[in-house]
Amino acid sequence: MRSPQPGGNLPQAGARDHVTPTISTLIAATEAGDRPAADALFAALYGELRELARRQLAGSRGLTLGPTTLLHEAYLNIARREGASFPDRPRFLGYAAKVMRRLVIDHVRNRAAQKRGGAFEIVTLDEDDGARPADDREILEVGEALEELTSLEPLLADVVDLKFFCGFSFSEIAEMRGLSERTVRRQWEKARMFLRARIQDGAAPR
Amino acid sequence: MTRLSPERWRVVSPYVEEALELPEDRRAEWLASLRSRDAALANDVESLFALRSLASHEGFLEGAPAISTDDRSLAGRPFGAYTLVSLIGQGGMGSVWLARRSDGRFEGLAAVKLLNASLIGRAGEERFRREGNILARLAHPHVARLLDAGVSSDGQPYLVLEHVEGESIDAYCDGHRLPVEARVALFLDVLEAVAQAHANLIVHRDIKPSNVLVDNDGQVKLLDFGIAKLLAGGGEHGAATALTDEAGHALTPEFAAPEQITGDPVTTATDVYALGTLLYLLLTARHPAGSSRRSPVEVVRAIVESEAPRASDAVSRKDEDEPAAAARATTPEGLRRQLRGDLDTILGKALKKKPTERYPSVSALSEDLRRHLRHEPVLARPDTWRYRVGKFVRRNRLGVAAAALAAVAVIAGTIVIVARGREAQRQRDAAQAQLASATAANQFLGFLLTVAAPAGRRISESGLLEKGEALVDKQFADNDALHSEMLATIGERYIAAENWDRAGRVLEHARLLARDPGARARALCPLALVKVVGGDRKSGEALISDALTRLPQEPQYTLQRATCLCDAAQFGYFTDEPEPMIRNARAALTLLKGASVPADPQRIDAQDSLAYGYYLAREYAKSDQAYAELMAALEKAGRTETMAAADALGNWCLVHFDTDLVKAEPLCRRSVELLRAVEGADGVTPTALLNYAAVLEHLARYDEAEPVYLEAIRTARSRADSQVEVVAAMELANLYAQRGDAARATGELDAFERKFRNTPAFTPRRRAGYEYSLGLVALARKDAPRALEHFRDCLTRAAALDSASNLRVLALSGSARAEIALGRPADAVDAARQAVTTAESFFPKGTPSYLVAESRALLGEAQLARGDRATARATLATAAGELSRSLGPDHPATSRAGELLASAADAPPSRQGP
Repeated sequence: MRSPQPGGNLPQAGARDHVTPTISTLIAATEAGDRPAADALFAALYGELRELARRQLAGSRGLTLGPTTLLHEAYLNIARREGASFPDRPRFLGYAAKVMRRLVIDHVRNRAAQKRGGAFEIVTLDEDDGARPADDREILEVGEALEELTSLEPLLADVVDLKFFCGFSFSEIAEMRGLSERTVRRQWEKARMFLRARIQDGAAPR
Repeated sequence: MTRLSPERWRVVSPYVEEALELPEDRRAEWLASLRSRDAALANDVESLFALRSLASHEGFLEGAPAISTDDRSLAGRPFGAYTLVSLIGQGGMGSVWLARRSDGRFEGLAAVKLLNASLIGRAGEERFRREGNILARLAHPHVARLLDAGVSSDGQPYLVLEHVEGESIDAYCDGHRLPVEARVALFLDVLEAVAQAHANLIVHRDIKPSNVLVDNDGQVKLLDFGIAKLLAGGGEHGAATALTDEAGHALTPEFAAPEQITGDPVTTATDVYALGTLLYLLLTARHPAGSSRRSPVEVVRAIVESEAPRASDAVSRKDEDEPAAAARATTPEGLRRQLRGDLDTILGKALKKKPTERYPSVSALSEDLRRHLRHEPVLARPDTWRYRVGKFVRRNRLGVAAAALAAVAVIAGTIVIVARGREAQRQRDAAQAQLASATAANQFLGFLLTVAAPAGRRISESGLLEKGEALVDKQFADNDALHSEMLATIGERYIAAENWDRAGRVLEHARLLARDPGARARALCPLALVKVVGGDRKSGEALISDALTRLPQEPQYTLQRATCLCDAAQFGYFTDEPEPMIRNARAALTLLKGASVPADPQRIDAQDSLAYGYYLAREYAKSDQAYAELMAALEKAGRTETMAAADALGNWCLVHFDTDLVKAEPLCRRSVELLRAVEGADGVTPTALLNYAAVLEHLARYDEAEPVYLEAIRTARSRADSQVEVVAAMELANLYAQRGDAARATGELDAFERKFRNTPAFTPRRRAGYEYSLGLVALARKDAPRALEHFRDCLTRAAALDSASNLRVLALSGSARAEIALGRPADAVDAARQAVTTAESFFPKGTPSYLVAESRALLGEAQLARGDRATARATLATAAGELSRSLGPDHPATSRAGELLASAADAPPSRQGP
């Protein structure tokens, strides 16, 4: 404990000793079957990732960032903070991937809401007035359809989360899952078929 | 497939998995066997696989969603020279902003598109910048230009695009209730834009109504040009692969070509298909793959498998088609009638499933449509397009010498008029070659473009072209057709740089690689020109003949045929033979009548050769008219500020040089000014300066002429152009002599003689001219006997040369002058009369010419000296009139003739003389 500097800030001894459980604790609890812990874990990770994203974007690093980088940074931050007992990356990502999906979808939904309504006064590239717009809508629809897929075939939904929302490659996913790359690819193809079919059927409300 | 309910999925899922595990070639078999057991199941599985194809085509889930900032915060941020104003729209690729120029210098608004950085990747940034520069050079009034592309300091890639305000072409046509012909005419503008891009080896790949706008002035603007190519970077992520397809766009494949869906290579023929689809829609209000109520899967299947119904059949006679017909200013039956026949055929050909069966190029499609249009009343359309000048060819030719005599103790010297070449810009129909590797071709093009100078300047550094050669040899080693095409292009550029040796080498190589008749012709015809320049006329003629006979008679080869004829016509610049030049130029022009607009460079080329051919044939009136038409064509094409125009003006000046200097002067002057403007101070050729100086000299504007001669000499020296230097030096001496400055004249001649006496540039002709100059100087020094000696020497030498008749006129006039000074009027009349006769023999009867006029004035003077007043009066009267017309009323020669005429009138009228 340092001697107080005149007029300086005193570091709060035991500032971190408050009641919030660590992420590693929540993970352990979730794996033990604790449902509320699972929700809390989700919320904690969500908060973590969102804060990280906000800080990154506010800086001058660029106007967009990729989820992979975000996840990587998040993992480093949390692991460093919580110490050696923090689970390894693949395990972490298993939980974080779902969170990332939510984060992206929320962000997109937010953005879509801010979009100017009505006819554009100037028409430029790749924005079509009448027809369906590109990725924003797609992402939202995919999100909806994914919810369905999660209840039907959760493994397939996981692959989509990891590949599309988190940006991992097939080989990385295979490694994380202990599967062959070929199997992962097949799972991906199947998931895509399902999602595409659901979207065509108008699964997502307009 | 009916809705895929969760229950249904559970049933189908294991079968899908089984099917996925099979290799593709076994799948059909498996499916058939399944179908025999459970048809519904088989259908569902099949539909899902069709969806999979569709998804691949769309790039469904291939991109990576990225988290980006709240876009409203971007207003006011600068990107390149622009500042963002407000957000216009948002898509998967990024956001689009309205932007204004930051420096306030121009009123320009632009659209700035911020690209999703996660889609590019680090390695892509450099490529992005580079390709952006390539696309920025695609300038066409019907293409919404890419103004700038870059990556901001904080790593945000952006594109700056021309701001276009308008509506999509189908909405525009319907809103204005345009009839069929008007729609086709508007569509031709779209074709122009696409053809221009193809000529630059850029394939659009995403032509659809929302990318084709019509602005408030009724001008077509094609958008999103090749933007997809910008993002085709490397990288192992799925994102990169999808972007080389048509990723990130709407989830309907309606305008995709079959090969885009099956994953086969995309070529310019892909654009032809999309254009066909667009036209079909514009004309029938239907989609060739069926009504829009179909699901995307069915659309995809239809595109790949079923032939589109004939356009006229697609429109029924029923009431349901009334609104569509009304939007086309007709009835359903009327619409059917208009579409039947030509348009059915044209659309059918554009929409063929196999790329090789479609129109080979957009120009071919355009040509067919134009032909169709000519049977209909043609609508007047504003022709406002401007064309960037690509390459040009310039020829320096030592042409016909002309001479003039000034009456007042001033005698013009020998002037060799150097006929300057003109631009032969070639827009090759690159779309004829199948682009096997658009990326490679683009890289090469990018290389050439980035190192090439701006429009109008020639690539004079052959080092660049050599690098290009090496690059091409490497890149296209496995594709003969493309290799040949590229080499032919390089060959043309060497020709433009007048590097004949290299041109020959490269074109021979192109010839070896050429397979089809078009490629052969592309190599052989310019090669023929190279041969002729090298003196081998027979080979040149043989090559052209070979190329032409092998070209099929089909319309798609018309342009190439015309181009070959233009090449053949250009022989005349080197052979001085007018008949083949005129003949070939005329043939080319006939062929090009009614061809599509991109043939304008060839038309201008042919017209230029025609005009020069007439000049060579001494058909001055026809030549004059042809040049006037040429300039009008250049004006219409918006190319009056180019090398082509400068050269054309220079040659037009020549046409009048012998006859009407008042007309010639502004032409030569403008030519020099243009050259200075287009090429810069050191770009004005010695010959252009020489001609201009000569014109000024003849107009007795000595003080103006002197500095131009000096500049001509200086420039000639810096380019080691001894021919021009020799002539210019002698001319300068003559100028000094005429101005009465004998000392300076002598000085010039001495220096000249010392420098050139034993050099090859001092040809016998020059030698004769040198004698003439000495004679002039002698006259200036009032040494008539000496002058006469020199003139006689000149005449003797001239007699031995065949094309030196103008020197004869000069020498004769000079002798006449000397004889007058020596007090021997009878001899003077003799010499002068011979001068007049010889001068008159140059021109067809009745052609006014100062050359003749000045000789005639001299004759009158001699007659007066002899005392033949009446005859003198008649002669001088005629001469005065001619002089006034050809040199102007204020010219010293005109004044002098007038004075002499007046003095001839003073004597008693009764006195007659022989």
